[in-house]
Amino acid sequence: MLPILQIGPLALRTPLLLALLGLYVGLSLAERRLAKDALSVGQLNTLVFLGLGCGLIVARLAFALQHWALFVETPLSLIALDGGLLDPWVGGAAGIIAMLIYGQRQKLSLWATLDALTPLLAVWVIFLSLAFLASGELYGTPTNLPWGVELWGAKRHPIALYHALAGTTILVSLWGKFGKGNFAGQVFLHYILLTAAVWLFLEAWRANSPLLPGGIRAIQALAWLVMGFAFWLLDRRAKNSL
Amino acid sequence: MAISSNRFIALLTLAAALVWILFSRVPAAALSSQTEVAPQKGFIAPDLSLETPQGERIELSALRGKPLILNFWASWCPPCRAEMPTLQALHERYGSEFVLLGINASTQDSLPKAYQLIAELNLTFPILLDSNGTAVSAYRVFSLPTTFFIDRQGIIRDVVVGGPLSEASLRARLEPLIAERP
Repeated sequence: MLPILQIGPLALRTPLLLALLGLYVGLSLAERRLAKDALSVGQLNTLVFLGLGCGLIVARLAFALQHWALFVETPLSLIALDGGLLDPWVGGAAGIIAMLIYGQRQKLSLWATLDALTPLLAVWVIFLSLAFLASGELYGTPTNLPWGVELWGAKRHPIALYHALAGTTILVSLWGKFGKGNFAGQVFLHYILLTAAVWLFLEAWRANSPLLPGGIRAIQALAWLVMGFAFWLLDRRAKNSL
Repeated sequence: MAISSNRFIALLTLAAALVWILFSRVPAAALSSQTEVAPQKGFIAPDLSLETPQGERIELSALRGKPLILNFWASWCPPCRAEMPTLQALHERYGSEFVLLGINASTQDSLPKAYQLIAELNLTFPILLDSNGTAVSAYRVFSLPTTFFIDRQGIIRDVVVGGPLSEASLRARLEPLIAERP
């Protein structure tokens, strides 16, 4: 766990650094692995930064609307560098909508675009897992296994590290397929399927899972639905490509 | 033929996943009250017993029942200094609705300079001196400032490493804790 990287007088937030590094590495890989008939490098960059920018702005505005009294009194808080003042769900949805609008205006194929974004997603998820490892926010149940890590008063499963390793395995397994799927959307759907399966499996060792009634882990239920949807889409797209 | 075999694999995988979800659900006993102590969101806040500069001893466990903000700081740390007036304003605004404790990382600070800062900024909320580093160690404070938001049950609800925290940032985290009635 290393939430802060101290370099002289500078205290850098390691999770944020890792997230930014993941974005850079992932985008570089996505640019190199672009299929010839997919979008251009310029379009890929615009798509990603437009999605991120719109997502961040709307996330802050949505949070401000929910706490409007605070922001009316302290309007400068609108531009405060504080990740806690964001509504990630609304921001995420806004980012996706902005990307969809851009894609439509540029007449990009949805599935080819999703395939083009897959290397970025695959790398970013690995770096985000490492970011969670650094922050200590994603921690496992207590264990006596030799690779358990001492965290929050117990020897625990290094669940964030499991996610990083599983993410790396998925990236390696899909490496040769980037830009070369049998049909548009195949690489993306395979990636989503494998990632959802990993989340569903590893969540069992997470100590701070959000829960549904009956002790069901919410992430597992969501991952199961995502897997079902990905299987259905793969089946449909494979049939259409015949 | 290939498609129907793929469908069979998909159904089998989903069925196996469903069994795994049911097998790995959290048992009812584990859903009961939180008992683990750790300086992390969702855990019981570690207890502390520290003295103010005036020699009054304050124990964290005695403050249960009120929302609590613990702010670790030092006089040499610019963001700590920058957020102190906001913390003071919060203390004045909400009064007895919550407890704000400023924990001076005294092993990393010069006490005369810390006292000078308290006087300079007219801080009236309680300041505790972590003279032997037990609080910094118990709360695994890696960087200053670090701020803990603790609810009425003594559970840590949020941790913010770094600063300075804006007023909106502090109030957005504190107000829900105050709104939760005992």
